[in-house]
Amino acid sequence: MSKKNRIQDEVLDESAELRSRLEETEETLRAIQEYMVDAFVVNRESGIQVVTLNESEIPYRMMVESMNEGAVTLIPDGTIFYCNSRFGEMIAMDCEKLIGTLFQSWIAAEEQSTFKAFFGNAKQNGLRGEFNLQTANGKHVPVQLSIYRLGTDENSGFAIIATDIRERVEAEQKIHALASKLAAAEQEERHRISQILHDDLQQRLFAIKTQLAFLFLKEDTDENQLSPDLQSTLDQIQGWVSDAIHITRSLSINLSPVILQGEGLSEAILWLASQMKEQYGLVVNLTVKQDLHFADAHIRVMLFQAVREALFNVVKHAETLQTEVTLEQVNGQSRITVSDAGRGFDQEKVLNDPTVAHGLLIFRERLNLLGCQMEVRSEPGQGTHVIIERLAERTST
Amino acid sequence: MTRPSILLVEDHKVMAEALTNVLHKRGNFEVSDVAETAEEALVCLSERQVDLALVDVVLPHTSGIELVSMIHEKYPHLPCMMISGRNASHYVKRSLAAGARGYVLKDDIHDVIKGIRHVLNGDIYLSKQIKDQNSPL
Repeated sequence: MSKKNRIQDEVLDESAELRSRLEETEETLRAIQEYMVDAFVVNRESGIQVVTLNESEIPYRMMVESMNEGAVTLIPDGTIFYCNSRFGEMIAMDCEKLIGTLFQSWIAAEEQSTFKAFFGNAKQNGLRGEFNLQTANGKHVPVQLSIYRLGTDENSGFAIIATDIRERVEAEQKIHALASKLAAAEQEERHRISQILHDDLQQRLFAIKTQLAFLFLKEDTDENQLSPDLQSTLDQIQGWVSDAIHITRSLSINLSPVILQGEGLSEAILWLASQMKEQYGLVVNLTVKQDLHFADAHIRVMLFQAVREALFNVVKHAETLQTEVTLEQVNGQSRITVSDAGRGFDQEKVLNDPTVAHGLLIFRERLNLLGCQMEVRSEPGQGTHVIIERLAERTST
Repeated sequence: MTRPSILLVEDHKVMAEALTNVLHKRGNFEVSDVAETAEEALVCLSERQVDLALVDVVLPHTSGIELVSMIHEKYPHLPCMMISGRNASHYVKRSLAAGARGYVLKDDIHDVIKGIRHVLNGDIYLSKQIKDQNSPL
């Protein structure tokens, strides 16, 4: 190769290398300009150095400021250190005025003690809870708060993300109202059928039985006019009429227990206990720590029916004829517990099989729609506990 | 001999007819009036004196128990006996508290006749099924 050619090749190589380095540099600059780089490492004589770019937090700040959730950071004592404008909108107050106030002071008064406990339990892996924010103009905004510690030690602050759940709460309230109307319609229909059974069908059966009792006796005497065969047939017919009366009576009572009309739940369950004893021999020990009253009669009816379903399950499956029913108020919520010390069951297996736990699952769903919860705890050989709770009503303004 | 007269307060026509028939033929009583409501019963009582009022517990508008309470206040010497398809003890207690002298069940007509005789004799009478009931209520 001639000297000229060699020089030409070296120039071309150098040119290609320079072009490559230029492209790399341009790419780096583009990344920095587009906020894709927060910092970079420089190898200096004094050693490796991390260089942070000015305004590198801008994209994060933009993200936090433009997000639809309220974002708040707190110093360890719960004082607001920073909040985004969305949180300011939720509280209806400028962010500058919120900074320096206690976050807890913006929680609805009746939920402050719950929030205090919630805040005390916040760890790095975070907690979620639903609360009402008390706005500057006195309204309540239901929110889901997600809280976590920003560091590992006790001096670390907290970050809170507040999600406005008004739409969900309003949708839930509409569902509860619809479910309540549905329960009312069902209850009215049950009552109507119960009345037909009692007021008409049962009376006709009584009339038949009354007339049959003396049909073949001579007037003014108790002398029988029937042959033994006919008497046996008459006895059989009277027995069938008595059975029909018994069935219509039970059906009428079960469809719409009179005791539920305008009475407290404890009296209704006391009545139910006497029915279960009479019909199935089930001994129901009722403990009323506090009687439970509900403004919505349909909720009372639904709770009564759920207790009855739980008692039927004891009769059918528990292999015991002893059960405890407790009525109480726990943390402002109404709670009914139906417990037995019977054979119990594998709750994971049974409660996930709709063909087996059909009745309980239907009641659980219907109670949920009315703002109630049903929890079933059971283990083989350890009895069963059915816990029904009426959740506190949430208000949204 | 004059048959004891009874005011029957029963809103179901078929049951009222069956009771009237049997009480007359087998009980040797005279069902002098049949009222379908408490209001009708009070009109009957104001027009004719009877020896006993046989009152269904469940009536339209004013209940049988309320009617007994009104009769007891207005005609304290007229014995009233409840007749019902329901044996719940809270009905029995409320009936007795209202002034009823007896409580019998519709599905045993022999017991109804027996109860009327006892109450006319000045006794208090409850069906055996009611007395045997061990309801906590």
